[in-house]
Amino acid sequence: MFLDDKVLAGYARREDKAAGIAEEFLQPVLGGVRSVAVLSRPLAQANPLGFVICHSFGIEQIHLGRHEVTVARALTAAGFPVLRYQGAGYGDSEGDMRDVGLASHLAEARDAVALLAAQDGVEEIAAYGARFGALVAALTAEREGLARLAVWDPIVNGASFMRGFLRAHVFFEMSESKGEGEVSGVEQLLQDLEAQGWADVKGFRLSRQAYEEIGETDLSKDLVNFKGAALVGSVTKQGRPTPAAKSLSAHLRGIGARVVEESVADPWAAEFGHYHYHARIGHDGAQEKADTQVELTDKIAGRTVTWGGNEHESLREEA
Amino acid sequence: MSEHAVFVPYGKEHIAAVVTIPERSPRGLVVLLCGIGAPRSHRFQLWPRLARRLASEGLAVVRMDYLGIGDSTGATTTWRYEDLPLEEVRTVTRFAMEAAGVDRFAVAGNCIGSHIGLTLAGTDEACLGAACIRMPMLDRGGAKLRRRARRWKVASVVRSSRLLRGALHPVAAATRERTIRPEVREAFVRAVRRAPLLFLYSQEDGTYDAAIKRDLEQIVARMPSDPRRSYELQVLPGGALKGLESLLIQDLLIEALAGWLPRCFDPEPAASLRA
Repeated sequence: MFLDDKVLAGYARREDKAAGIAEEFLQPVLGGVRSVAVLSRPLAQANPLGFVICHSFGIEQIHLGRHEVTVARALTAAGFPVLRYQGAGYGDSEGDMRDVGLASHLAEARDAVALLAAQDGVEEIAAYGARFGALVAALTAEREGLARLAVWDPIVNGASFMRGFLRAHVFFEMSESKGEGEVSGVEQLLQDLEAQGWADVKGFRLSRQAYEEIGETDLSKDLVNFKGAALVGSVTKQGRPTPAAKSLSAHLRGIGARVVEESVADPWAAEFGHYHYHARIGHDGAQEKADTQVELTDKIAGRTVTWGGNEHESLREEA
Repeated sequence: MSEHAVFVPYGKEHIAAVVTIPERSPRGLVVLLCGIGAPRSHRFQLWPRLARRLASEGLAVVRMDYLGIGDSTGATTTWRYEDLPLEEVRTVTRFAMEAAGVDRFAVAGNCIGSHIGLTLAGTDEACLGAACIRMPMLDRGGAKLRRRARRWKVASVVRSSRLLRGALHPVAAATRERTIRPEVREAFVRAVRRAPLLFLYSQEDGTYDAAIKRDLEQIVARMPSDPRRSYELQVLPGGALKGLESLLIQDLLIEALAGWLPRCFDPEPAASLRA
């Protein structure tokens, strides 16, 4: 017995009656590349406000993957259609790491917005993103004329993000016990970018084009037209807003946006966007691995749902 | 080749998976598994890259998210080495074999995925082989501690003092005693008797050293000649397999698996049921 393609296609969708949601795998072309996406819709009447979740960059896309799934499911359970996707060179999509750059992220986000906007009952789109995904979401909201934006722990300055991205490689090399002098430092990576047009940054093939275009991005300059509603969230141990979130909020207010600031306190905040499965010894002495980001993600999802609910109300009032 | 992203029903839950079907009738199915924390595509698209390569060799492939990871449902937040998600893997494997119209599979996995692969190779009649990547085999974390301790300043003080060396000798001896975990030894013996096994490590992995190589060889040497031939160890250059944090090790790993996995199957489609 084998399942023909039509039967197999039937397994692309699942329903969760208890949560009141349905999820469906799609294989749309985003940014010119065959991608894999998941469209989540409430089983009951959907709100006209839909969310597109923009993913992060490099290995952060993996570390924030479950975060995006949890947020999408929470939003959908609250009535919002949500589209999340994997861009070229990520996850199950086609393309490879050579294709990855700010331009590819933005082209995919643009097409994802169009895809969600074409769904029945969707009238408005909010862009959502965490870390680098926040930067993509903000630029997408700006360029596509979206009226709503939700970001958590946003990357505001691309040059600073790229510096951190390269430095992480240097720390990794040092931790792998290479002696002094053998360390493949930031200088070496910059030389590789210059000489060969790419560098191997902890297994990620960073192109010079991606390095340059991200490095030239600064939300405090690049956002000029967005006058909609924004949720700007911080994730810290103490629950205080980060400097990046504060500066983004101030800038958004300066250009006429309506901003809600949120801060989530969590002891594992420093692992947001990083590998977050900790090996430990369980209560019975057995070895186990635990996900440290579950509670943090639930808090973020809860605050985002609340903000989305308020925006849905204001949308109804506007109507 | 076609790829199908699916939700495989699993009790009240759904396991997210991608099934790759080659253009011609598949010779068999390869199941690709991750360690805890990586989604079904693994880091840096390792599994999609391998799946597409294997599809060109006439093999169907499935990769999956364990419950609580990636797009799978489930509220699992803690995973235990003693409680492997074996049933999840068996369910997805059955689904993918049916989808591809084949009745044989081989498996490749890292970390707990390698444990699952080894277990299936030893217990499932349909399993034709297992590639175990960077399999943690040791009973204790002493080696890791020793490697770290060598870099401490106090280590050079200890090395320079005969008195301190003597005092610390029992501790050093205890951590040097690297033994393969009994359950892994048992699974290995069971698996190597009935299916080809490939063990893959890199020169820079803390989970591998000469003692492991020697122990495995000793186990195999005590066996009749057939199982001996079915066991292979490859130690890759090019950086640590942990985290796959170099492009070179990713390419070497794909090459090694793309070379070994197709050899588990007959060269012709095995009475494929797929048109």
